[in-house]
Amino acid sequence: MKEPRIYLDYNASAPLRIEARRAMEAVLDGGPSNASSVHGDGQRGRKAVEEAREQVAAAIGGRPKEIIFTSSATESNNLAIVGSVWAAGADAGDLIASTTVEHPSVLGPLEWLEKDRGLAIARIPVGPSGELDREAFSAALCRRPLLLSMIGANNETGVVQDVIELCQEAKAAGAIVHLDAAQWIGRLPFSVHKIPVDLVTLSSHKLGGPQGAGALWVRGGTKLEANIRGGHQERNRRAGTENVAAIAGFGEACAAACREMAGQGPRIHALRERLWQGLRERCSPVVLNGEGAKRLPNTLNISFGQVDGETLLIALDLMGISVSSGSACTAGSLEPSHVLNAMGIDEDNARAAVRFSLGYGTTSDEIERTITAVTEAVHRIRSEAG
Amino acid sequence: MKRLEGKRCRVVVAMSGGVDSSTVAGLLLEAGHEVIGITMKLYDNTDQELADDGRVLEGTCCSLDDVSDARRVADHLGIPFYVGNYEKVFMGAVVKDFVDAYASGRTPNPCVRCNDVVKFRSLLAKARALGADYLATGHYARTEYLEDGSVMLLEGRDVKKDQSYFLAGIPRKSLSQVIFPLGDMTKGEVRAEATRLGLPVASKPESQDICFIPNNDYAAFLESAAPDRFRGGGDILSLEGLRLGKHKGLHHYTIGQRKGLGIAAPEPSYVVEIDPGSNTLVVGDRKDVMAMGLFALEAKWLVDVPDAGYPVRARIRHNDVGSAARVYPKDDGRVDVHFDEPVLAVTAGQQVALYDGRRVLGAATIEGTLWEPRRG
Repeated sequence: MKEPRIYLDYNASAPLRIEARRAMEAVLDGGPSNASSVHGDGQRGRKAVEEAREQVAAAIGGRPKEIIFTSSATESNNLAIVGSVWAAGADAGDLIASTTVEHPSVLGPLEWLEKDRGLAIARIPVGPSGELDREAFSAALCRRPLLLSMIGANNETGVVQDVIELCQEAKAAGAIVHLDAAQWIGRLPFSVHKIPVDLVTLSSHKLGGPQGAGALWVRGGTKLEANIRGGHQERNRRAGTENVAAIAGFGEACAAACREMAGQGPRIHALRERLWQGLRERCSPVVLNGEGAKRLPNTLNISFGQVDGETLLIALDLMGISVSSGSACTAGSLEPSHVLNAMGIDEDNARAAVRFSLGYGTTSDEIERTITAVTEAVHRIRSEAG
Repeated sequence: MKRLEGKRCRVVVAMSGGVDSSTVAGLLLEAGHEVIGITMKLYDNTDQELADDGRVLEGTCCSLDDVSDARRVADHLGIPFYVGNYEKVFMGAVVKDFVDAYASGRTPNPCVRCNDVVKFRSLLAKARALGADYLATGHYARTEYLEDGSVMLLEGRDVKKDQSYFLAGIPRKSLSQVIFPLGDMTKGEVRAEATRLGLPVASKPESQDICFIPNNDYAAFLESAAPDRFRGGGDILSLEGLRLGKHKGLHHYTIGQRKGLGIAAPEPSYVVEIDPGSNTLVVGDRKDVMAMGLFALEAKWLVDVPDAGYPVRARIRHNDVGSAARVYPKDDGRVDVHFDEPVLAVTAGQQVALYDGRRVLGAATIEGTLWEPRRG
């Protein structure tokens, strides 16, 4: 009998949680509903959206009215950056501080603001562990940026920044602070009461909700200009009919992820450590990318010496295991990671990197099978290369 | 294909999205093999597909359309499919070589270089690393296994479609690791098979141009790739040194070219020499562009190195049927080729492929002529 596939790419997209699926089915089975409609059918959708808003807000200790539902974390990042900069009346020459290890959905709008709108961007470097260079960070803040936009937990390496201190410093310097927490929420505790932040990006499908939903938390009083206009939805900050089913699923997934975090976090962490131990023993030489830094409990990014990551990814796929390597371009081929490059990892080691990301459905048996399969594939690739 | 009979092999198929490689994948799958499709991404055209004026650029490789065609075929067949990133090796080994060659007055053949360095080295290595028994491509060429276990490369059965010229320089050891399932077929037969297999690309037109050159405009490509290396116009001189006109930039010309020179003369003029040092183009009569021999470098052999004087048929470009010659391998990879009769337009940078009957012996990069009948 063919063994079932093993999915170790939760940072790309987590499997849909059963709670989320049920909530979505309830919406889909409930009949037509535009949450803005006055009638009972509309009110049913409105109720589902508002319940989800409470659940999403609760996941980060925020208030429901501070949540803007979007289509994705990418849209949330665009809204946070462009919307706050616009609302602040930015002019050419005004500064935004960010880092060299951001997700493309932050890099993109920053590059557009820089090239097309003449804003200055300070891209703060990271050290070899992936943690922000604190001196460079302070130096950037001395230049009085309008906005600091920063990834909290990195999607590729899982490296978690010391956000409390960093955000405090940025607030003290007068910056609006945006945190991309798409990979963080549901994996580690997060509270807007502890972290002095103004804008927080959340993703639905990274924590087991459906794709097609995201959220931006906006601290009360923060000015924000809508990116999508032409409707009063989301308090005039994001026009467009709400994706009610996806939002309902997002809310339930948030609730489930937070409820399970205390149990799942240590369990997943132990599995991740077992995977690392097994691969380190049997596939030497291997390098742990992000070593020494605090990391998400579920992410393992390693470079296998003399192994092309793309080849290893394909070999594992043919063996029924889903992992990732680098970032996929439009055509579906892999480009070397800008994140690993920013950490000072040379191109060969960046091309040798593979990311394993675990989650709530990962089992011990899967980890053992993965260790065996990776060992076989790595040894074959090395023998053909030599 | 015969060699695979009775076995179930794992085969990686290099899929371009065209009808030939798609048919290869379909035929191998039908024969019971485990087929894995890989499209090589050689060149980043994602930003270039739409020119500034919004028009779609034609004839670019790894276009998203071609990748999605290959993906559709793989989906249709139900085989695993991947896009491999070969941009770095392609840039370094093929595009750079192409630009360098033109800048030094040569006329390169990038497909030859790509087969040697990218397809039958990097991609083959990936196929082996994936546990594949063979790499299969849609080339019209054949391999022949001799009794002593050695493998020979042969022309394809359809001489009009034969692509062995492009393969003459691939690593010898790759021959036992590759298969060319279309080698015994004609193009018409391949299209018929593609139709029978229901492949969504069965009626897709041929691509003839060099894959990374948009709109087949070499000059524009070179000028944008290395603006400082491709100078503008200069003098067209006769062999006697008389100024006959102006050229548009040396990268617009190749040896033996007779059209588009823009000079009025009673007899047709041929490009005889391209001299980047003085930025001049030298033209002459037909007899001035004939040569009795050539010397070539970086010889690669698919057989044991032949003895000096071994009789061969030498093809000096893809559409050349070949001329009778004798071959003189030298040290350091140099090889001299002495033609029985004078040959037109020996062109530096092109490949000379050497044949014994239908068997390919090897290839080398042409560096210059030997004994030009009149000027020598």
